[in-house]
Formats: sequence, C-alpha cells, structure tokens
Amino acid sequence: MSSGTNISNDPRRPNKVVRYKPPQPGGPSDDPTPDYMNLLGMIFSMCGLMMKLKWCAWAAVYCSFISFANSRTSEDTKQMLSSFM
Amino acid sequence: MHLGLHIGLLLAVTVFMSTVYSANQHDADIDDNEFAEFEDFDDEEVDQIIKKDTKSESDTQEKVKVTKDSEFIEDEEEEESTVETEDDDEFEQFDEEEFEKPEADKPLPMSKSKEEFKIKPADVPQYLQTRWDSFYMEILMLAGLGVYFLNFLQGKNKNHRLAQTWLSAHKDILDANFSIVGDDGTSKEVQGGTLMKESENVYALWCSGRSCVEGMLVELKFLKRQDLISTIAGMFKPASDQIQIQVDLDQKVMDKFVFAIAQKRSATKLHKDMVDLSQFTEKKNVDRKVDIPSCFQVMSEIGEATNAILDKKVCQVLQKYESCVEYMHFSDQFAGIKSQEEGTPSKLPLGKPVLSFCFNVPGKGKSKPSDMEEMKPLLQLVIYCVDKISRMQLSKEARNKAEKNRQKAEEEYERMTHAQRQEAAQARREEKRRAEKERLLNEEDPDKARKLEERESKKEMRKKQPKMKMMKVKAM
Repeated sequence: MSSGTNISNDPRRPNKVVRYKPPQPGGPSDDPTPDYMNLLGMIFSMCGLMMKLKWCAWAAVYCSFISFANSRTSEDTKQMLSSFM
Repeated sequence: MHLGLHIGLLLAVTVFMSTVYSANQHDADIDDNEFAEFEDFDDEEVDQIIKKDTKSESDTQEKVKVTKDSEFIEDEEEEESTVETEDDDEFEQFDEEEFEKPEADKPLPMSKSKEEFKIKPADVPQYLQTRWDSFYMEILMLAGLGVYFLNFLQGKNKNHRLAQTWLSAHKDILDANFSIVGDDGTSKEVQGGTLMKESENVYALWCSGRSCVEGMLVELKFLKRQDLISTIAGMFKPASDQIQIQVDLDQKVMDKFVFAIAQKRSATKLHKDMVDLSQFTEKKNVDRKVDIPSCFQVMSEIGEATNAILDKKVCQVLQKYESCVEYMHFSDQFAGIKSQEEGTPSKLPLGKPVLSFCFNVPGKGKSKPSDMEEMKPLLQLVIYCVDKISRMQLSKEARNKAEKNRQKAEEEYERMTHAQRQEAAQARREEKRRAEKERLLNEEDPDKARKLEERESKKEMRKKQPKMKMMKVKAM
C-alpha cells in the first residue's frame, strides 16, 4: 500500500529532524487519579493521627499505594516516598 | 439580813456543786459504762486492737482521768464534751474497726491470694490466644497490600511486554519512513530508539525526519493493569488498549479543511471536546454512496474533502478493521481539547495542521503481544493518509468556502472577546482611580493633596463634558 503511493525517493529527510518537546506539565486534562489519591491519603493520615483511628491509617496507606501506581514517571519519586510515609 | 443572804448563797452554791458533782459521777459512771462496753470488746480482741492504732484509746483514758481529777465546771464541761465527742468518734472507729477488722482481716489476705492465684494462671493463656486474633485486621490489610503489589508488578510487566512487541513489530515501517525513530528530546545529539515511558501504562514514541511531516508522536495508552482497582473496574466495563498517533504536518502542506470520522460512541464526545470540530463542522451520517460500515459518523467542513479522503483504499481498511479504528481526525486548525474554563480564552487558539488517529488494539483489554502484529496495516494507513493529504488539492470553491468559514470564526471570536477586553479595560481604569485616591489619602503634604484633587476634578469635568455635547447634537 505504502510503496504504491510513495514517490520512488526515500521519504526520509534527515535534515528535517525536529526534536521532541515534552508536553508541558499540563492541567487536569490527563487522568487526575494520582493527585486525588495523594490528597485523600494525606487527609486520611491526618485523621488517623489526630483521632487515632486505625482504619484511617490503613486507608491512607492504600491511597498512597494507588497514587504511586497511577503516577507518571515525570513526577518526583521523593514525593511519592514522603506521601507513603 | 446580810448574813442570812450570804448563808443562803453559800447553801445554793454547795447544792449546785453537789448536783454537778453527782452529775459528774453519773457521767463518770456512764463513761465507765461506756468504757466497760469498750473493755468488754477490748478483752475479746485485744490483739487486733493493739496491732492497730491504740492512740485513741490512750487519749481517751487520759482524758477520762483528767475529767475525774478536775473539779472546775468549765473544764469538765469542755472535757466532757470533748470526751463525749471523742468517745463517739471512738465508738464509730471502734465499731468500724471491730466489725470490719475481723471480717476484713481474715478474708482480705485470703482473697488477695486467691486473686493472685487466679490472675497468674489466667494471664498466660489469654496472652497466647489474643496474639493472632487481635491482629487479624492488620494481617488482612497487609495481605491486601501484598495482593495489590503483586498485581502492580504483573500489570507493569505485561504493559511493558506489549509496548516492546508493538515497537519490534512496527520498527521496519517506521525506519523506512522516518530518519529518527524514538527521540526523547533530552540527549544532546539526536539519537533514536527510545521508547519513552510516561507512566506504567502509557508509552510514547517520537518519530521525525520526513518530507511533509514535522514529526509523529505515537502514544501507546494501555489499560491500567498495574492498578488493581482499575483492573476490577475493567471487569465490569470492558475497555481496550489504545494507540494514538498524532502527525504534525508542515505548514502550508495541507489544504484548509476540517474532517473527522469516528465511531458513533466517541463521535459525540469528540465533536464536543475538540475546538476545531465544534467550531467548523457538523455531525453527519455516513453517505450511502461511500462504502463504509454504518457504525461510523462523519464530521466534515467541506464535502469535497470528505470524498477525496474516503477513497477506495481507505474504505477497504475501514471495513476490514472496523472495530480497530476509533477515530480519524484531520484538521488544519487543530487546537486540542477545549479548555474547561468558562468563557472565552484570552488568546486566539492557534491551529496547526494535524492528522490524529486513534486505534483500538483487538482483544478488548485481554490483548496478547501477538495482537500487535495485526496493527501493522493501520500504521500503513497512517502513512498513506499523510502522503495523500500532502498531495491533495481542493477546488477553488472549496478553498473560498474554507476561507470564509475561518474569517467568520475569527470575527466571532473577536466579538466575544470584545466584551472581555472592555471589562478588562474598565477594571484597569478603576484600579488607577483607586490608586490615585489612595495617594490622596496618604499625602500628608497639603499642597500636593490640593494639586492631585484639582487634577482629578479636571478629569471628571472632561469626562462629563463630551457626554453633554453628544446629547445636544442628538437633540438637534
């Protein structure tokens, strides 16, 4: 299919290379799950500490896990670790 | 007479004294009786009482002696009262002591020993029993976390495998068309072969160095296999892995038109979200002339372009890979997804010529790496479309129509933003006035204050005057 329509010349143009520009740290157009989970985790951990509710602390751990699993690689790993704590 | 009185007084005193003395004796007797009672008890349980505090006893005995010895009324009365009260207290104390001591002493040591005996043997089994039972919650939670982690690893590996398979299957075609396949933008010199991992389920590949094309971004958007919750949700609402390809064309290579063909399920959303689609196109059903499955919907600005694009070969592919093609969107005014903000944006969205494709990987989520081989023809379709559109030339009418549409859109935009711009200008003016007023208030120097006030009053007069003039002209 492609060979039929292609010009006999090689379509490649090495002099026309454009570098990849990573998209800007865009807003919530992407999946907002990790951010929500991060926030929830923080809230749960605070609740668990203040009110000494065990289930809150466990929920916080789960939230941080989920947030870590869904996060983008561009984000800081230190943040992840701190949120896990 | 005086003697008689004196004698009488003396007699009275002696009688009184005797009565008091007798009363004392009575009390003493009473005391003795009281003490006799005490003594009875004391005799029986002398040992215990001796063990406990005997101070009170000795005190009372001393006071009794004192009362017996003393002859003064006042002292006796006081001592009696004190003795009586103390006796009462002693009574209570002794009562309590007597009644409680024997009962308390004997059972106390016994009960204590019993309790101790009871506690010791009971302690050990309780501790052992509760060790596991009381922690079952924690064990459950840890098990859950373990399961989640295992699923994370498994999902991550599967996604990685899928991505690698895709790349190896399509590398030939890509290498034949682009001089650089897989640039990540970070290295100083352009190097190829980098499949970027944007997250555990999204991989990206940037290809560049081709005629008519600035660059091509391939995004492999797999399902979130690494997240257990998404996996469970996927069981109820099956979705498939997607491959999104966005080709940025060179400027002026593409004729001016906007076109999209999409599955019905995503057509509405696409039409709503995309800036250019919502602005320039309307939804239409597929023409019966064209041989395309009815599950697709067409959105086109210029009919001529639609016919030019949907030629035989494209239709063949669409028919064969009906389920695989999610949408194809060609536009020279591509500006991405509409922003969520209400109201018009402050800047005119710049459109660029873009061909956007979205393909579903067959398998509805349960994709095998071998499915990637089946996607090859679709990449070939992409290349074919790129070449076709770069060579495509619309008729004059079509071009004029397109130009008109674009001009309209610009004017509309200007109109909408006009209101915004006015508001912004007004806001700026108000701010300036506020700043000046603040300066006035802050000015301590009276001369400067006067000058500022004069300036302001002049400005206000000027503003008022032209209005007046205009009114007069209208009246005339």
